[in-house]
Amino acid sequence: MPKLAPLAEFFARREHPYRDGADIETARKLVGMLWGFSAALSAVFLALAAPDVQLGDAGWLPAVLIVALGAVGARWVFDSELGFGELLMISYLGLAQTALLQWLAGGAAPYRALFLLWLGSGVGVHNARRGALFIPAVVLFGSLPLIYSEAPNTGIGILTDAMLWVAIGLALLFLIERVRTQRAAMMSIERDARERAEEAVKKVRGLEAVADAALAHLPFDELLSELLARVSHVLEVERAAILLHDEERQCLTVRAARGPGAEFAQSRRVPMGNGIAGRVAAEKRPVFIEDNELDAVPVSVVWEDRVRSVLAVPLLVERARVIGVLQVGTSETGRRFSDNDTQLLQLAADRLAVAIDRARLNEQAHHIAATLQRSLLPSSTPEVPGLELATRYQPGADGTQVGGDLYDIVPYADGRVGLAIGDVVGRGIEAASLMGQIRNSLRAYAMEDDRPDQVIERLNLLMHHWQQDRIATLSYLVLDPRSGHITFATAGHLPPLVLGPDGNAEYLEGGEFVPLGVLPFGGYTAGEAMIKPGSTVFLYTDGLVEERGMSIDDGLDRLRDAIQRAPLDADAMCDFLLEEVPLHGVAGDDVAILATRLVPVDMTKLELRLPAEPESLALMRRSLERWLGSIGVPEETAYELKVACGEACMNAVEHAYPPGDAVFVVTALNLGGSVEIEVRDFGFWRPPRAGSDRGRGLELMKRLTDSMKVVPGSEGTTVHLMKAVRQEAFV
Amino acid sequence: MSPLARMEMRTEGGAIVATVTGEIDISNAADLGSALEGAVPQRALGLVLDLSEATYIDSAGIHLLFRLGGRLTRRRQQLRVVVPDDAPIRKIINLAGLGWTVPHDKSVPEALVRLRAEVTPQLGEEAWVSAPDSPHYY
Repeated sequence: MPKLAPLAEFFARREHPYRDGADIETARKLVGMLWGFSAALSAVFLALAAPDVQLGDAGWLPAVLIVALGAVGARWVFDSELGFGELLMISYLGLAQTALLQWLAGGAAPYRALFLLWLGSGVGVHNARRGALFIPAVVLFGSLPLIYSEAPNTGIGILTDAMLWVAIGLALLFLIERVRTQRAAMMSIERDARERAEEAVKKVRGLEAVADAALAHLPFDELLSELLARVSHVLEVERAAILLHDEERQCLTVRAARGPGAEFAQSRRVPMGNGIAGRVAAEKRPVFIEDNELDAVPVSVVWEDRVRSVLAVPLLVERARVIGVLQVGTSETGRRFSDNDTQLLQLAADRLAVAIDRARLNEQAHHIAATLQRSLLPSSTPEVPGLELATRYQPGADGTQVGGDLYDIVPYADGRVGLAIGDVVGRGIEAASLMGQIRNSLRAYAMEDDRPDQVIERLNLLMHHWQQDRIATLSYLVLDPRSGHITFATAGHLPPLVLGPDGNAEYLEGGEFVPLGVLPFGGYTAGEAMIKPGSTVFLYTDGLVEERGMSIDDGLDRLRDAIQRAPLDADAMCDFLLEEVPLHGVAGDDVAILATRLVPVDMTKLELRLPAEPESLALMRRSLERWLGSIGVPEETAYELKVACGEACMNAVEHAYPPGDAVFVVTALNLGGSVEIEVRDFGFWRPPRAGSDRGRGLELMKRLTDSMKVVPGSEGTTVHLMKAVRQEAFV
Repeated sequence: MSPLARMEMRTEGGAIVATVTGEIDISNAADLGSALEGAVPQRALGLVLDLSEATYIDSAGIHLLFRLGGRLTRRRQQLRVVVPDDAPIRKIINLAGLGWTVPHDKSVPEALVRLRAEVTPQLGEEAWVSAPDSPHYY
């Protein structure tokens, strides 16, 4: 009833109209019932005292209307949505119509009873003060019809009635007030109880969410974000963040964040003692700020924007060491944090602290294992004249545990090279450390003895000596780059694969025996093979060719097939095979591979680019020796050229200093009947002091060659050497 | 990388006999020189350096021999280098003119005989304890 609304408000609004105990449902029923009752009584009274006294028969019309209105209105009020104000209006209306009826009936007595009904209605719906105002209205309306009609009982009758109404009104008022006060008290008790129950349920839910055992199985990062999600859900905040203590920098770093601005919060740093998080870490107790004013200092360093309330608790581990801070925040107005909230957040923080501590330990263990393994594999591939070497190590899919694969390259002083590949059965730090022991022992034995079967035999005895109860497979192969001669022995390892210059690949046969650590005695024999220039020897561990549910022979066939399609460059070949051979991408097991290509000799030219350090000279000598041998230079002449070139290179090593590159370049040309060697550095030429060995070096060069020329330049010095040679035969 | 050179030392007839095999170049000459010098005690007659199995020597190595020879002379000791005619480094030694300052011989026994003949013992020659005889790598 929109049109009545302003009027209703007038009655309802001025002060808070109704006490807590007032009940609109009961009020509607009361008013409806009394209205209906009043209508029914009016109908009876109309028969007793006809409303034709004042206006004649015309008085019947309003009288009947009033009765009809009452019959309809009572029913309507019963089911209506009327408020207290409207009900009060109806009560006043009831007074007015009753007064009208009584007036029409000439002040007839029975209608007085109706005033009592409306008195009940008016006082019943309203509060004490307004209810008290209703009593005079009843007295007024009740007296008017008597005053303006020719009723027989004026004076005393009016006064008696008025007193009766006032007495009854006051009694009703008192009773109703009392009932309402009690009711209000009960309601408030009930509300408190309900709130407490809800709080308890929320707390249990929160505990469940945070203490959920399933969380323990999540990976570390997922655990962090899941806990943040649950905490912010339970505490009904939109932001949450985890800050970890960074001991090196003495600050807190945001490790995980959620909510608006989370991406900016990520990895933000908070100095110790600063902001809320810093305070929590310093004081080791929860800190909260509630409903901070927008213009005040930023509440949280984690969230720059408008956060009004923040609750933060420390992440504590043993002996009250703070490893971080868990904090939640909201920009919502009026948010308060209860003790329950703080307890819940602290519970989540404790949970986190344990997980973080554990994860850190795990991370450390993994770091140790990985470092160990890295330290056990060669850090770089050595330069071996005539060979192109490439190695790859690919950790298995389960990257948390290090494997026991090993490879190594052992250059011998005479230019040969030892190539090793192996696999310690098992994974983890133990396997990796055994792998390291094997690799070191292998190096030691390989330096003492160049026979692969002997090296492996000794390793096997050593393994028994260690009593580690583990076995390992190993292949050791010694290759002479000058002749292409290979000797090899295999302890339970997969056979070496050789790709010939014609593009055909074959596995080497022979030289096989049981893995290391199986038999306490020897029995290893060596196999031999010759490979042609341009061939590649490929060593690998089983991770490359082994697939679950497939025979190893299929894997070996696949490898042979793939290497025949692979690029010839050793590095490219390794990448290609790692990509092509495993059927399911990254293999579950570790993979170690080692490709060695016997580079064919360029008969016209040799070019070397070497680091300017004394150790490069031996490498130069091997390379030059091999090349000179290949182009048929007699041994004695080759020796002289080698010494002369060595002297030139020594100069280069001494000169090559910054700003030029710390390298030097040796170029040897086969001119057919003579050999020209050019050694170029990128430093400054310094003339030799008399009597120094540099002078002796120049002298040697001069005497060992037919022509020697030193050309100093602004960008480095070039030494030209030329010697006539009687080439014996071309290889 | 395996070592380029290997050195073995023994005491024989009041002198130190050192055998160096492998290659001597700028990368190991200095280390080799100080090891040799340190191995000769004051009371020894001198050092016989056997280079018959050395496969390579460059000017840094030659320089080492000159310097070592000079130092021992000042200590009234002698350096004798053994380089037979078929030694790989014979030609280089000749070209470098080592013979003018450092005497060289064809064999170790010959060198020892000459050493005893040319150097007067400073003290009782058998009085000192033998030099280390384990091999050294350079």
